[in-house]
Amino acid sequence: MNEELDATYKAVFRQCYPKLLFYAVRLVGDEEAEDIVQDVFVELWRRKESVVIGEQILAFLYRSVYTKAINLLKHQAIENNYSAAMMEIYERKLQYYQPDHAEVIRKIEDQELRQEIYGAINELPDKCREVFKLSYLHEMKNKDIAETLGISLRTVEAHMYKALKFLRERLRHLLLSLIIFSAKLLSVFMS
Amino acid sequence: MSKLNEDIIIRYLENRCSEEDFVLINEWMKESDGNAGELFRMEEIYQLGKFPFEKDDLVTKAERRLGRRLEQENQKKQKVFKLRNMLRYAAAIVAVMVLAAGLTYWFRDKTEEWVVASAAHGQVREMLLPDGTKVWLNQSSVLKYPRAFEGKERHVYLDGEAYFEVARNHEKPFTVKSPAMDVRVLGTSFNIKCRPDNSFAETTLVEGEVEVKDKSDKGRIALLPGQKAVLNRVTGRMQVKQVDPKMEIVWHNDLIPFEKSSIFQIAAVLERFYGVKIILSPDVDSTSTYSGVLKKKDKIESVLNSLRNSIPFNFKKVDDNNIFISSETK
Repeated sequence: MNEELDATYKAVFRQCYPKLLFYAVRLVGDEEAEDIVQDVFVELWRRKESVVIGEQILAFLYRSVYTKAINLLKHQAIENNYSAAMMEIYERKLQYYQPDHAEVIRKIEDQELRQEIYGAINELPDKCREVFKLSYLHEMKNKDIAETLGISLRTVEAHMYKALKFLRERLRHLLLSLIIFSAKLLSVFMS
Repeated sequence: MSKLNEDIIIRYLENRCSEEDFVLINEWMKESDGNAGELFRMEEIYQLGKFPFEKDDLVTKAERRLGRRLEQENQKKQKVFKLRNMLRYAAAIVAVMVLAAGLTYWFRDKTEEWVVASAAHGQVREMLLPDGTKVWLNQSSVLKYPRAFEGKERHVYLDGEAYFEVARNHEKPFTVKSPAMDVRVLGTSFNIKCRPDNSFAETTLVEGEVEVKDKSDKGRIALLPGQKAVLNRVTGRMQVKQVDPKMEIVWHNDLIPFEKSSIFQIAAVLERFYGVKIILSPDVDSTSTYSGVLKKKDKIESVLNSLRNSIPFNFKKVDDNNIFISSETK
């Protein structure tokens, strides 16, 4: 009986960890997110005798992360001296990420959405894709990308322009991507 | 405002908003209900594409970390379990002991029994007394002690030399009675030397507090660590000397400590312990010093050989009682 429980627990961890981590990062940022998710799983372990690991477990885990995140945010707000404007924005963010809003969790759980984005990026031509990934995934500045790849700044800007135009078209049904990538398009010429 | 400046959107997505940016964003969010959701959705998608969901070691590293924490949790659980059990057992044991003690009290033989221990020539004997006191009995010495320390005080009888590490018991003072002097202690380490053929009796205190009293009760001296009380058995006078207690008790643990000692000082100590005379050549290195601990060996030659590893010298045994030490010939 014990072994079965342990196997289930492990499986749940492996399955849910990345998504829960993503959720936690949205709420409290990179540094503290890992700790929160670990804490949640430790608590689950402590209560494993009484908690039934079934279909509801995912909701349970998101809710646990959320609760811990709220407490941590209160802390962070004081420690980092958040301004009034920042605090209001954070409060709205917490509202948005409420675990009972099915929408939010669905998006995170939605593999297909992610696959779409990856797929689109991978359809870019080689050099173009390389430049875009450095900018998007690794958050590098255009001039740093130029240095790293040993190409001119203008070449980088050209690649970025091409990538963004392509993605805007490719993902236009994800309405918001229009805004994101349009904005980035503009920024290419601004930086 | 209806639409948020795209530069601000970019800065928000890339996490580099200024304070002014936040104020503007906040104002914009207040304008319409859907605004906040719009920005957060954007942020979510933007981040979704970036997040390394599929990264191999993301999960494995986290799994390992969790494993370690769960280990700690399990250990904590075990400790609590053990403690609870221990308390249960302890209560039971105490009950049994009380009962047993009660019984022995009723059936005890009233006459006290003594144990007599002795150390032969060339022997050091280590013993444990019923109260936990450790005793090292030096050669040719006799110690008499009761099987059990009853009564208000603990008394033992010594004829010869012994080193004591007395178990603490404030309720029951410990007294060593020897033919020449009584030493009363509270919990401490000390050395008593009172040999029949000696005209002096000595007590050296290493640690703690003792009170030395001579038999005629003429004088009582309280010693501090590092002090030695010497009783002249002829005159009956007691003197207190400052000594290096480590040197006084070397016989009991075979280790001779030295602290920045020159060859002269070392020679003096060896003379004393091995009963030999050491003659030092004038060209011997007198500046080098030695700090450390020498293990006392049966033969002085072994000790001198060990010493040669640190201090350059040569030695020659002239005869059984004399040793000549000279400088090292290159």
